[in-house]
Amino acid sequence: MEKRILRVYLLFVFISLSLLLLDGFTDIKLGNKCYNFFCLDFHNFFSKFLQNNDLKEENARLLEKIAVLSYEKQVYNELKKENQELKKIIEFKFNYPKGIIPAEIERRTLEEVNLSYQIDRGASEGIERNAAVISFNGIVGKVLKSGKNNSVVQTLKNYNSAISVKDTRSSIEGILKWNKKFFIEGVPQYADLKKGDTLVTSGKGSVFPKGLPVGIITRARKKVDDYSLEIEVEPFEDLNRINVVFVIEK
Amino acid sequence: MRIFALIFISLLAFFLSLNVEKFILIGSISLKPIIILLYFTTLYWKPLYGLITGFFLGFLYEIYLPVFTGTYPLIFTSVTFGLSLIEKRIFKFRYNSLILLFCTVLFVGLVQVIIEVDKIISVFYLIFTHLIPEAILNSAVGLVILYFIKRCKD
Repeated sequence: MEKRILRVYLLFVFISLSLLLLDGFTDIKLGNKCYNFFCLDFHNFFSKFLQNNDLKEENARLLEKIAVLSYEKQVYNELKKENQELKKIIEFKFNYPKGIIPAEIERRTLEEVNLSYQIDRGASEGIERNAAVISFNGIVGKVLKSGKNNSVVQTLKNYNSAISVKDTRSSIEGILKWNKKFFIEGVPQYADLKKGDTLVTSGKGSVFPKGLPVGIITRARKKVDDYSLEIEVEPFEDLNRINVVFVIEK
Repeated sequence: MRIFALIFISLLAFFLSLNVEKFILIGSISLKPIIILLYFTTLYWKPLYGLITGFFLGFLYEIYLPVFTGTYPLIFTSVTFGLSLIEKRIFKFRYNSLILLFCTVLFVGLVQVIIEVDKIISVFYLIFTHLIPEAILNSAVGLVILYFIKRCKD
């Protein structure tokens, strides 16, 4: 019996010493490989398996959070935009020398010709007929009708619209009209008007005060059949896009 | 049947050893379930079983505590072989035979410390602060097991 134990013991010692020598004199590092295989790989596998449910829950929670944050961001952006607009209105109102009444456009005619707005201010706020209407960048039109709580604004994009304008560079005056495009009527051929000149209101007539920005000359050429200049104008304000206007108190 | 029981107990001792040594510490000392198992298997069951169990548990132990491959099988088989040599020369059912368990734990601990610690002065320091208390703790557990073995025998 003891011999048998001795034989087994010697066999085990032989195996152990062989492994020790193998490990000591070569780069096999059997122990590390076994450790990596049994511990790290198994551990990683089971960890992933166990963490799967946690990840799903976390994913759902995060998706919900993203949805809430997206909504909040949208609201925040809207508020920011509104805030900027209000700031702009206040600044504009304080900087303007005359009394002005800010108004929001409630409705606008859909057709391109004879564009007009309905604004949310009326006679009760001091808005009178023929009062000039401007926006942040320039002139918009005039009040056509004034109700108690709202008014109708006739914009520059109207066949009946005619505004006396003046070139800021040469001080030459003309009448700004609209017929599918803005143009200046009644300017003689020798008049010094060039492309890029800025136009402001001349103050003639009882509607628009002097010096309100109108637009810029985009084209100036001599007419062949007539002795006048053909002048096209681009207004400073895009009349189809504005939402807020200011009515100048008379 | 006995072989299966031995495999089961060996694996249990192995997992206990891994967890007990990591998480249940009294200061720096811990239980050595593998040594206790080898001790009782060799002395109170069959020395050959103790030898084989020691060899394979040594391998398993090395998977989780990688040093030089073959170290622990060598230590465990040497310990069990040493125990098997003196198995018939002692009164193993007396409580004072547990001095052998004390020496076994001390020996294994000493070898472990020599492998892991570089400075020889640290080894002497650890004998008193770590190895002897650990051997006493394991002997105390061995005392409880021996008590149950004696009761079963009676």
